[in-house]
Amino acid sequence: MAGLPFDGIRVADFGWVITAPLATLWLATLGAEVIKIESKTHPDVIRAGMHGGIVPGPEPTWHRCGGFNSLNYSKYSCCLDLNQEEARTIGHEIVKKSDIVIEAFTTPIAKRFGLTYEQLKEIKPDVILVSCSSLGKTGPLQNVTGFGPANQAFAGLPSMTGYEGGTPMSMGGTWPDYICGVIMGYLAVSALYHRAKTGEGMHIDFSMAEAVMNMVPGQLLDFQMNGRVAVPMGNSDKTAVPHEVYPCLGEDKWVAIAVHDEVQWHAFCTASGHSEWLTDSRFATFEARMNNRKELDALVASWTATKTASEITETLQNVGVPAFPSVDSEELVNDPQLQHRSQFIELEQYEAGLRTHLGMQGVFGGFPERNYFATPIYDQDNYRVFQDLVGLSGEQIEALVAQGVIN
Amino acid sequence: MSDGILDGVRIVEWGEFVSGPWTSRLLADMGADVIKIEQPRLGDSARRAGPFPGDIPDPEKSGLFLYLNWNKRSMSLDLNRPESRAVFDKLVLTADVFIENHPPSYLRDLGISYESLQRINPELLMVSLSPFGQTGPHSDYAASELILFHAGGIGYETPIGEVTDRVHQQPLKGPGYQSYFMAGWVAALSTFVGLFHKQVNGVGQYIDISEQEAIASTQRPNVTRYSYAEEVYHREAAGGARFKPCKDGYFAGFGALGNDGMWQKLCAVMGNPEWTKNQSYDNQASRREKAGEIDPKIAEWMMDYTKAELFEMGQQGGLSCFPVNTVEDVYATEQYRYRGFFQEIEHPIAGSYAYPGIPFHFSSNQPSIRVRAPFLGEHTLEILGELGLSEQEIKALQSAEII
Repeated sequence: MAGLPFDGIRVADFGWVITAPLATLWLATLGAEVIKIESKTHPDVIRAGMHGGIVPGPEPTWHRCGGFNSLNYSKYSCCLDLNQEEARTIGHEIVKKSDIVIEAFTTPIAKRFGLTYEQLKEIKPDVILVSCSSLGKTGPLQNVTGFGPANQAFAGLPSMTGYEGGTPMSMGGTWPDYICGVIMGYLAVSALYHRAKTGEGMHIDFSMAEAVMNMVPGQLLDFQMNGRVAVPMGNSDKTAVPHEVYPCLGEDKWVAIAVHDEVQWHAFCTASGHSEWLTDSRFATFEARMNNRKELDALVASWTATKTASEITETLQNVGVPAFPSVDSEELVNDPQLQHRSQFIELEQYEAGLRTHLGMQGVFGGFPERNYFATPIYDQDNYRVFQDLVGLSGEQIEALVAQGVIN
Repeated sequence: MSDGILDGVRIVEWGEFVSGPWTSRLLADMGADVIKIEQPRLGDSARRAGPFPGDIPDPEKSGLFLYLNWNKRSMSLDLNRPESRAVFDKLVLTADVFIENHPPSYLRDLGISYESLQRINPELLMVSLSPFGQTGPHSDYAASELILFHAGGIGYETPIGEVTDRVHQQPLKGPGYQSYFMAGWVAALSTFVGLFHKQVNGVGQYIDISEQEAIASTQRPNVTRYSYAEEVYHREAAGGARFKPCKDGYFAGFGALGNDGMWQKLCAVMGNPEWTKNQSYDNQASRREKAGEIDPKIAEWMMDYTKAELFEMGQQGGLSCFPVNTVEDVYATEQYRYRGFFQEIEHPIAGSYAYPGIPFHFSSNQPSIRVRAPFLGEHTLEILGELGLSEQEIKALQSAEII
């Protein structure tokens, strides 16, 4: 694979779960050699089958979990039990020969594994270390751990998510782990850019909960400016009506419709065959439609319920009204636009067979082809890493395996 | 203050609302000199979005705009008018990066394309954000935050694990403009990849970002659920509400479903009340069966305590648990204050407010907020001067209302 931006860049990836693996997935598919340092004594919870679908078969699920496989393709895997001194020494040898180090442990564990910035700077003065944690590596709650739901609740997101007038609820998408993976990738690239320019390394300490608050500035500033405390709003919006997800033909099928101005309102009524709404006094102005929103939503729903979500979408998009089905995963995989953008890749996975995975986002004119290859199984690259990179002999490796250091 | 990583990099942003301006602001925080092109008199539509102090609209007081555009300079220029093109070309010549997020058909109509700009500046890096991408069957579809959130598949599983009646509880969008912010992050990462490539190899390129694709990237595990296990994931409840009410709001993490170790810790936190000493509660499987009688008892106990009290007790008891904070709570949270996350920014027209700041700490070259968001066209004359336009030329542009 020629001409990718991170050709020749080596990543020592001590990360696990979602965010850190997604960050290194960006680097791997853009040419970097990403070495995952894993351990069978403490398997990644996603490798152990936490989410993303499992191909049926005998335990363990290590090589058949879709969630893990689609976060870790295009990488290499070796195993080290970092609880052992000799393993930490080998880990440091990998760091010395890498351009960037990724980790996602709490500080006490990072310290035990020899992976804090202070420890790594001693063995490699220009090291780049990018760390992510729930609430950041400083402050009174620095060692609190939690998956996405904890981070988003601590950042205030569920307090404004849910049905109008209802209780707090969570966003889908294992929010915010997947977005934080993109942010961590951004941080890794910025540090690599800086080192290419100056030769200097750095440590980056990234707080996932703070990143979540970055995405709801309107709600935070409304509290600052007006003392208003945001609550669940459903699909509604103060500036648009109709603005809802309406039922369609079929089981649990829905279409999203957003009418933002008078031009779209006229187009919407005409295209839906309900031009009588245009002269109905309940809907004559934006204010009137807002005041009678529930009545209008019920009428719109009685129109959408007789058609499929794609029929509604086509009818409305033809006249410039924003509409799209609320797609489920089957429809997403079959979305012609996402397919046009090569968003789905087929990889032949060990034990799991030929499967579809989400590819990488963005279309780059400079390098249209990404570096895609199958997810590594545990231990697969032990010799590549410990012999070719670190310089251990085959006998030494066998001895370390027998001692459980390489495990 | 140390230098920014992108000091010396110039970005010309012709952005609207959230996704384009967010992309360039992230890079501006890193030190890039961002020149924002705005439509004369009208400005970026985020200026009309609010929230506004006292709910009184004012283009210089919109919270969303002020947040998305600090560290930038604003230049008014009417790109709909062909006479603007000479100035625009001069600007593009000085740029390392051009970022825009207008509908693809609009750019075609104006004759602005990567090919046309590359003729002016052969090493230019150009980044476009659009709802569905520059080409393909849906590239000219109209969209909005609601549409993108549902077109990206995340709406179908929101609110996750909470719905008991899928016929009457429709898929939801998240609060605010999550799709646009997500797209901005993907675009900022992609732009940095382009900058790295340009720094090492000296060549620019065109990068095409789809907002639908960006939000769909949260569906990575659902794509494999479908491919590996033929499951179509949705929002139906997976056993009990995640968030239970307490004295002053909602709290999460205490319930019957945890493993045995968590259950014992929870009993200790509750002070080992008599009702917990039921043998049939000793293992996870039977607790799961009896969740209907256990959870209400936990909830009853929780009603005597505040979120903060429960969080402290849970943390001390070694349980993974967390308060469901409101916007009021997050501003009062010591952890965020300690890290200096919220940053007070003074603005001569809008006033002084604490904005959500930078979510990462660099050991050197820390990204920072250097200057408040610009007034509409605040830097037009300054930038035209830098581009070498004469006073006479500037006057002509002014009287023709190009600037």
